[in-house]
Amino acid sequence: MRAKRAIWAVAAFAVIALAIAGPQSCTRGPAGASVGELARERGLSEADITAALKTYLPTGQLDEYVMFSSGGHSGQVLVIGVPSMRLLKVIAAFTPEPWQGYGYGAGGTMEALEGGLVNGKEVLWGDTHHPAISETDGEYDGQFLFIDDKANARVAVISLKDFETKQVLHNPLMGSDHGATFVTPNTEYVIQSSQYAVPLDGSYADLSEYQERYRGAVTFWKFDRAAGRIDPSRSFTLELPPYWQDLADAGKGPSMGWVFLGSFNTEMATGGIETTGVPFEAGASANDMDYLHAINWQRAEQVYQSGNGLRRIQGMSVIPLDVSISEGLLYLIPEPKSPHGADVTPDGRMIVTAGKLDPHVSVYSFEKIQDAIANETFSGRDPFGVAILDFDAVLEAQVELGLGPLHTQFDGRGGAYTSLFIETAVAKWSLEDFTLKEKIGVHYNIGHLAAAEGDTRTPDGNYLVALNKWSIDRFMPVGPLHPQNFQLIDVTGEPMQLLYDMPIGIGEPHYAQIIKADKLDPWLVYPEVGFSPHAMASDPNAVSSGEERIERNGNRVDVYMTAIRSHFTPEHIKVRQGDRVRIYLTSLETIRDGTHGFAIDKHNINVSLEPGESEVVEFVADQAGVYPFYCSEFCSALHLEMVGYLLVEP
Amino acid sequence: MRTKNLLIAVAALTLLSGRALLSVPAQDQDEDKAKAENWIAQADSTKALVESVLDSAIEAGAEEHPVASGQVADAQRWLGEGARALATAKEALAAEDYERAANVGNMAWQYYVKAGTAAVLAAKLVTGGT
Repeated sequence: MRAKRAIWAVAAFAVIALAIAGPQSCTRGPAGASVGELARERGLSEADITAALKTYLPTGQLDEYVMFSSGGHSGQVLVIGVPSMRLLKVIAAFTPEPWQGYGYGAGGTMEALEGGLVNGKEVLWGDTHHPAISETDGEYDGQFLFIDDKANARVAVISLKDFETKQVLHNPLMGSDHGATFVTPNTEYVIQSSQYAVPLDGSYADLSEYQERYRGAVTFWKFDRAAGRIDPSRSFTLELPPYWQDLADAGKGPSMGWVFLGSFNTEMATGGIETTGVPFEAGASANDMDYLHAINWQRAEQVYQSGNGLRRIQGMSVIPLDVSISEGLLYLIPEPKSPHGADVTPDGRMIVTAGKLDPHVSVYSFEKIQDAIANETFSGRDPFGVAILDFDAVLEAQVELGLGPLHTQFDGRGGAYTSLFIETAVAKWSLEDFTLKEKIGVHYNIGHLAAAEGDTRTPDGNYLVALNKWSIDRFMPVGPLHPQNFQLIDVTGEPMQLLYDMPIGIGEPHYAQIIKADKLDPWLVYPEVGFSPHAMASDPNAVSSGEERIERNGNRVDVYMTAIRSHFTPEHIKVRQGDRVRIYLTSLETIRDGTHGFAIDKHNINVSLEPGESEVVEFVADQAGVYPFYCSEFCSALHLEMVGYLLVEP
Repeated sequence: MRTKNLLIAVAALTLLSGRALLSVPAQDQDEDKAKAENWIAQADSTKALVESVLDSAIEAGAEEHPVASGQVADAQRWLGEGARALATAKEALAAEDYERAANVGNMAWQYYVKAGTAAVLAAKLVTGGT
């Protein structure tokens, strides 16, 4: 209580000082200056000071929320504390990352990356878009995180016990994805839908055959929570018309069992500005309405399990479009205009869509959708025979918000927040009376936005992060490639208050999810010495202290090695040129932060050995010579002495 | 006063272009012609709104602003592209080439959306980014 009073006293003093002094140019201010002096010398306003007080965390204090953000082209996931906006971790998913030892020899990480081979080829970057925290009963449960790679139609599975990627999968049916990753309310499935249509069988087809041969798709990847992996053998895909499916959201509560996908290019434009003079941007935006896809995934699951009418395409089980139509799995709902986001309200009763070129959000009633399906209130069928529900019959409301609405999140108090790209603002509106309440400018050109637990059944609201595509003048110039700008906004009351700018200099992040920090229960060290992060179990090849050894079997050499401050055992590894060397590494450390690295000179090998971790690296000693190996993590006072020699005899 | 006028202009762009976007082409035998006319009308109305926002931004000092001036130039560039496309669309409409008129009219409107995006940014920058 005393501390709280003190903070308010400081704030009040600062505000009074400011009122007297007025704004001045930004300077550092002398060390030891009072709050008032600092504020005056730095030209800080009252709003600046309250923003600082709302975000500052003294050393050792922890954030209330954790945000998992796409890392954009880095192929990684960013973990950021909220409200401090401190970067806590970068989780490697599709791209090797040396500090975590991801993709530089450690067996489990190599296996994960191999799962992401695209047509047999290594693709070591990813265009990560939409992270999805695993859910139980429509609430984030903090156990797993999923992320997609738009460019290569891949999905990664991350355990939130150790914040490491366990699995990467490529979807062979898709060229690229966008409606990924989203989860069903109990994480029964991880949803991935295609973006740009291609022939599902991977074959060549000329663009003149677009309507006949090209298709969209949505895959329901079965998630095995116990195994912590997606099980492709229990996953299925729905063939979709060759529109460009966009973002997805799963129904919950009354709409449980359904998933909703936006789409654009229902014109099925094929571009070719160089010959037709009509670029995609005109051809794919010609219609006033595109189609929200309503998919009954629980019924689709039954169809899949029955096996009736299924096709196997590139090893995937596919429900053909005609089966989806006859079984009532897929319906289309008109949505204006070049839509992007599709977001289910917390109560599951409504779906909000936003057209990039329409100043409204359109709000659909799930109940009306069900009535329209039951009564066949259709306005027609698309060229593929899919029923189109009557727009007016299913619309609950349209709310005029501004220019370029994209995505919507919720605060649990009846408030909805929609990003406005062109207007470069966030609009707050009411789910109760469907009216615009207020707007706040952001800097600049916002894409997604993320509210605290903002797409769950019970959003917290409180904080909202605007994921802005441009920063223009917000940061120190760093060349023509500017950072993106995450802006933290306080949405606890009206008006909304901008609190903090966070530059993101590693990619173009798309979406983020914010979870209450106390829902996460990560390990601080691995549960036991000799634990395999890949198997998430004891490693049978783990090495105990005193059992270190080197075994030769023909031209294969197995090294059983331990690491503890400040030595590896053994320190000398002598092999012959051409030997296949396998090193089983076990960290004997049990203390928090007692991490070691294992790097071998000139072998492209670097392993991160967190306390208790067991790993394996394998390589061919193809060059005779002397190669020091060393601990690449500053682990102790004699860290530099934690070294050994790999001696490769000619 | 200038800032107030500017904000009013941005609000007008938001509201009026929104209404323009909502107009739906007639669904009759002359659908192609109606569609073309609709795109051209949308482009025309959006052009006027974007120009008013840009004028207000310039009046508020955007051309002299170190950052906003770049957005002004960008908006002017897109306004030029839009004007060329709009003229072409109107020529195509007069020549009863409705498909071309609709496509180019759509592009003209897209150019004006880009111009509007830059004009809004110029306005925000010159008013302190709020």
